[in-house]
Order: sequence, then structure tokens, then C-alpha cells
Amino acid sequence: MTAKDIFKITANLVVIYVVGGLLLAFVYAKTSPIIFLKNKQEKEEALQKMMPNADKKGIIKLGDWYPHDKDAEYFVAKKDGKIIGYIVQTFAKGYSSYINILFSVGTDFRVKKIDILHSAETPGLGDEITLPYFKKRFRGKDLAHLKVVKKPSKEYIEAVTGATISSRAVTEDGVRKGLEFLIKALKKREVKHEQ
Amino acid sequence: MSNEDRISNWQLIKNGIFKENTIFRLVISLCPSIAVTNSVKNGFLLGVAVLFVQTMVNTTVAIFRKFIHPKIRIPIFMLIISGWVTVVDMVMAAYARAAYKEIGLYIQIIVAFASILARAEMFASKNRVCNAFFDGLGSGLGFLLALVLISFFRELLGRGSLWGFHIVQAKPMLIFILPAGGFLAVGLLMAFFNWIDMRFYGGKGAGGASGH
Amino acid sequence: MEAIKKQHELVVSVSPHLKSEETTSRIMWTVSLSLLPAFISGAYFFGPRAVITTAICIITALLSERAFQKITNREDTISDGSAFLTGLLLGMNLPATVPFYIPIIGTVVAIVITKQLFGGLGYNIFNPALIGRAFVLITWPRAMTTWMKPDAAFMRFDAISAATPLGILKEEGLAKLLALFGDKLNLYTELLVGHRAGSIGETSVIALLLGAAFLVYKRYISLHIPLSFIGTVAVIAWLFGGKEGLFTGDPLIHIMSGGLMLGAFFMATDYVTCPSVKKGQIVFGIGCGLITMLIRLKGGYPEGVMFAILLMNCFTPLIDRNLRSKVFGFMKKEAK
Repeated sequence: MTAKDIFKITANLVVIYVVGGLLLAFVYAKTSPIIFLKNKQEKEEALQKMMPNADKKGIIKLGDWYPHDKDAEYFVAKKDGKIIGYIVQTFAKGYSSYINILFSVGTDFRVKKIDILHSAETPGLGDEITLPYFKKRFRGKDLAHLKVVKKPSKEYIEAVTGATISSRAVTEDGVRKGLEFLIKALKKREVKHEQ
Repeated sequence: MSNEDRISNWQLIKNGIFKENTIFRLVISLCPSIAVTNSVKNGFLLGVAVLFVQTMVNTTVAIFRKFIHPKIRIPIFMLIISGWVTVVDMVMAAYARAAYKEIGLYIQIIVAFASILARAEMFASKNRVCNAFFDGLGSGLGFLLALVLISFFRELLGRGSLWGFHIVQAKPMLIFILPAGGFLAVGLLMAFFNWIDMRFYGGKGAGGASGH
Repeated sequence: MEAIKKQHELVVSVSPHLKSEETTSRIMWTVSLSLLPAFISGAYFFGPRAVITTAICIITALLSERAFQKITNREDTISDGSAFLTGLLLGMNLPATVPFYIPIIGTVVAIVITKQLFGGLGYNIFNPALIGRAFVLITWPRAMTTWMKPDAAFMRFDAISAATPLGILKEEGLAKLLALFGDKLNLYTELLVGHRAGSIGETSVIALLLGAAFLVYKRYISLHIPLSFIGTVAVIAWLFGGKEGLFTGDPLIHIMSGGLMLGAFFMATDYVTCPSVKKGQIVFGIGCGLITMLIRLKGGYPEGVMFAILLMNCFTPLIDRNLRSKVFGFMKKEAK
């Protein structure tokens, strides 16, 4: 390899890096504020959907928690300064993926709504947990009734046919554990406030 | 190079779509052809992304072809590819959010697609900018076409729908939207095209030189 | 003289090289005959639906084999009975209550894709009937896991759905299974007779053993694969099957339920897709047993015999190559 070769290779790399870097920097500068804004907007919309009654800007983050070592958040929802419920984000270990769940409860700790933010369960079977007919089954359930059964039931959560593992994950590993955590976390906060 | 000049641009495009179709003829980049083709929409979107990246990479490589030192051409091709992929990734994340949520993961994997590097190395680094552009266009279109075709069958059989609209009322064949069905669909389509080629054009199947 | 001379000419062919008067078609028809007791018991417990489902499989198998050979201008091999046997085995591996398009599509996949596209009988890598079943199980998981309660009532078309013993064992545990069948002894007898939910031909252990004994007596199958397969299942079930810890499992339940008997005697021993050397057959059987129990105890499905045999089918060429019997007088010298 001659000195000319070495010089040429260096020049090659420098030019490619500089040109590529400039191009990427330009695109990043243009797109990143939009991406950031849209991410934030989408999150707010998702939360608002969970608690339609709450004031705009009435949903305030309470803190982080770590189900299955993943970052999740929980929120309090207020209307005219009064607490009307809580929203918890959680992860459940499903059949073939971690299911990212958002659910809201009233002040009586009965489930109001749940939503599946992300899941990769088996198409046609496990992924029916994302359909409204299954999510509706959670309305009004409290801690004791968040249990999966395999037959039609009004009291408990009826599993999606053929997808017991995914249904159980959402119900017991996801929402029930999330609710247990929320109750515990709220108690801790109260103790702290009193002190 | 003077030999290459005589090939018309239209022929280059046709070549990329039929004779050297990335998936059905060259049998490379099979990973995306199975991973994203469980709905026509996803297949089409990834195909468009690849079409853009392929064309831009081919053009860029052809522009710099005399300047690039042969010893480090592969790392430089990779840099060019990953640069364009990152551009597509960021633009999609900002302006096509619904689509990005579906296939965002696979956009970043375009960097590792064999087909793009293969075209850059085989064609673009040896030809004029204009030819390289049309070659990229052709092979990108061929890839897009293959993805749409595969996903057409998979979504129709596996979900009974096309582009998300329900068409067939019968119980869908679930296996076709699972990865196993992807292999089946690609294999059966490839067999079908080879059969057509052998039956009507006297070709020798994938890999064989078939002059049509 | 001329004929003898001809036989001694050098012929290059794939193994096995020694051939007796037993022709392929004779073997196929005998195996089909040996499945008759199990089929009759299936028809008895699951009624006319079982007969219809199996008949659809057989008819579709014959038709699709003929159609494919006609389209591709190949020799007509319908009379060798292999298509009939594939159809029969697939039919006996389906629940009796499946909708009628399932046996049809499953059989077409088995005959056309698994067998004929790979070159016809003798060239298929996988057991056709099992691929057919795997295809329909993955495609219509709900219909394929809705089992019918055995009622022993002739001419009954309506069916009450019930879970298989392995399904109950997996979902609800041994206590529930015992509660359903009374006591342990009753459970064993019911499993032996075949009075339980399951695929048409897999339930009756006695009938299957009867057919298998006939095949062993005729020397059509050797016991290497079935015994190592069932033995491995028994040992692992005993070791890890129990809830209370090691060595508390119940091997008998695992042996007699699911598709183990049908799979071990009639499908793992398929000439085309199992190893031809004895040592290899034992390895093959142990592998099948390991995968079966792995799926039954840890997997998402309650039953794993089908996937186990299919997975081990992939390894057949590898096993055959590495455990080929040594030629006398050659290997020792090289080793030194």
C-alpha cells in the first residue's frame, strides 16, 4: 500500500462521513421536533381516552414502576381539582410477547377501561385480546374478580377461546398485579404525607 | 463500460423486475419477504421504502464510483446504505406514524438486506449514474412487486381481507399469516413462477439463465 | 439363467438394498389392515362423524394423488396403497367433530405438498399424514382442539364437547382428572379401552396394541423405535411429571393418553422417514420421547407427539449418516 493509497482511503472516509453526517444532521433537525411532539401528543390522547371525564391537563404522573423490569408509569386523574381515578401502565408476560397494557380505575378501585398499547401475540388467536369484545369484559371488575375462567361468566373474566394464556396474562399478570401495586403505592404515599 | 451503455433504461427496469427479480429469481433478501408480508399494506410500505433506498444508494454509489478506493468499497457502501436508511427511518417516524408503528422495526433492518448491497456492488459501482439509477429503480420495483404479490396471497388466505378490508367471509387459514405460512407462500409462488418459466419459456428455473 | 444374470448386474440404488418378496403395496395394505381395530373403536366411541371424517380423508388422498400424477404426467401409483394409508392415518388423527373442509385441505397438503412435490413415495422428508395434521392444527386451532365426548351411541350426530385427559392434566392438574374419572384404576381402564375424548383413532390403547402386535408378528415393524420412544416418555413423565417434585410423576397416564400409541407404533416407524439402522432407530425414538415430553410438560400445546416425530424426521438423514453400521475389517485398521 503506497502513501497515495493511504491518503485516498482517508480522504474517502472523511468525505463520506462529513457528507453523510451533514445530511443526517439536516434531516434530524427537521424531523426530531415533530417526532417528539407527536409522541407526546399521542400519549396524552391515549391517557385522555382512558379517562374521558378528566380535565385536560388533569392527568398527572405520580411515578414510575417496573413490572418485569420494564419502565412503566402511573397517573392520577383529576376533575376540578378532585381525584376521580387512576391510570396505570403495566406489562404482562403473554404467550409470545410482553403485552403493554394501560388501564384506568375509579376511586373505588374498580376497572373502568383497559387498552392494549402493544402486543405480538399469535395472530388470529392470542391477538384477539386487543379486540373490544375482550376489553369490555374488564369493566367494573375489582381485585377479587380479576380472574380468568374458561366458561361464559359475568362475574369473572371469560378467556378468549383458544387463547387462555394470553387472556390470563392480561388479566392476572397485567391488570391485577398493576392494581395491587397501585393500592400499595397509594398507601405508601399517604403514610408519607401524614408524616 | 461502452458495452453497458447500449442497454436502454427501460430494459434495465424490466431486468430488475423479471429476469433478476430479487426474491423469485436471485432468491436473496428472503427475511423481509416473510417477516412483513402478512398484510398487503405492510408489504407495500416496506417495498416502497426499499425502492427509495435502493434507488438512492445506487445513484450515490455511481456518483462516487471513481472516487471510492477499491480496498474499502464495501464499508463505504454500507455507510451510504445506512445513511439513506436512517433518513427514511426518521422521515417516516415524523410524517407517516401509523405506517411507522407497523413496520418501523423492519425499516432499520433494510441496512442488512443483501439485495441492496448486491446491486451496489454488482451494478452501480461499475456503471454511469443514469444507468445505476434505473437499475436501482428496476430492482426496487421488482422487490416491491414480489412483496405485494406474496402479501396479497397471505392476507387473502390468512385473514380473508385485502389492505385491511374484509372480503371473504369464510374462516381464514390462520397459518398463512404466521411465519410458517410465509415460507409456504414464498415457496409455492416461486415454484409457480419456475413452472411458468419452464413450461412456456423454456427456462431452467430459479438461478438458470432464462432469456425472456 | 438369463434372469439370474440380470439380478447380478450392478445396480446403483438408495438403501435398503436387500429386498424380499414383500412389495410396497403389500406392506401398505397390511399396515392399513392393522389400523382397523383402532378405527372400529373410534367409530364406536365417536359415531358416524368419525367414519365420515376418515372416509373424506381417504377419498381426498386417492383423488389428489391421481390428479397430481395426471397433471405432471407421472406413473399412476394409486394401487400401492400409500395414499390410502396416508388418508387413513390423517383421518384417525383428527377430532371427529371437525368441519368437513379440514380433512379435505389437510389431505391435499399431505399428499401434494409433503409427498408428491418432493418426488413421490420414498422421497418425502416428513411423514405426510403428520404434516397434514400440523397444517390444519396451526390453521384452525380452535376446531382442531374441540374434542367430542365419547358416547358410544351409534347414529348420533350432535356432540358434547369435552377436554382430552392431557388437556385437563395441563390446565387443571391431576386432581381434576381423577375427580372426572372416579379413581385411578377407573382412569387406567378407561384409557386402555379408549373411552375418552381425543382424535378418532388414538384413544383405544388395546386396539392399537392389537394392530401393532400383528405388525410386529409379521415383522413389518421392529420394536426399536416404539420401545425407545415410549420408554423415554415413561422415564421423563416419572421424573418430571409430578407436581410434588422429582420421581412423583405418573408414567402410565402419559403413556396411555394423547397420540403416543398411534404415533409410536404407526407413524414414527414409517419406512421412508425413520432411520434405517437399528442404533439410529433407538436414537430417533429417544429424541421423539424427549421432544414429546418437553412439549407436554413445558410447551403451549397439551400434546406433542406429532411435532416430536416431525422434528425428528428432519434428523433422520443425519442419524443415518453418523450411525451407519460399520463394514467388517475396514474401520479398525483406519483407527490405528
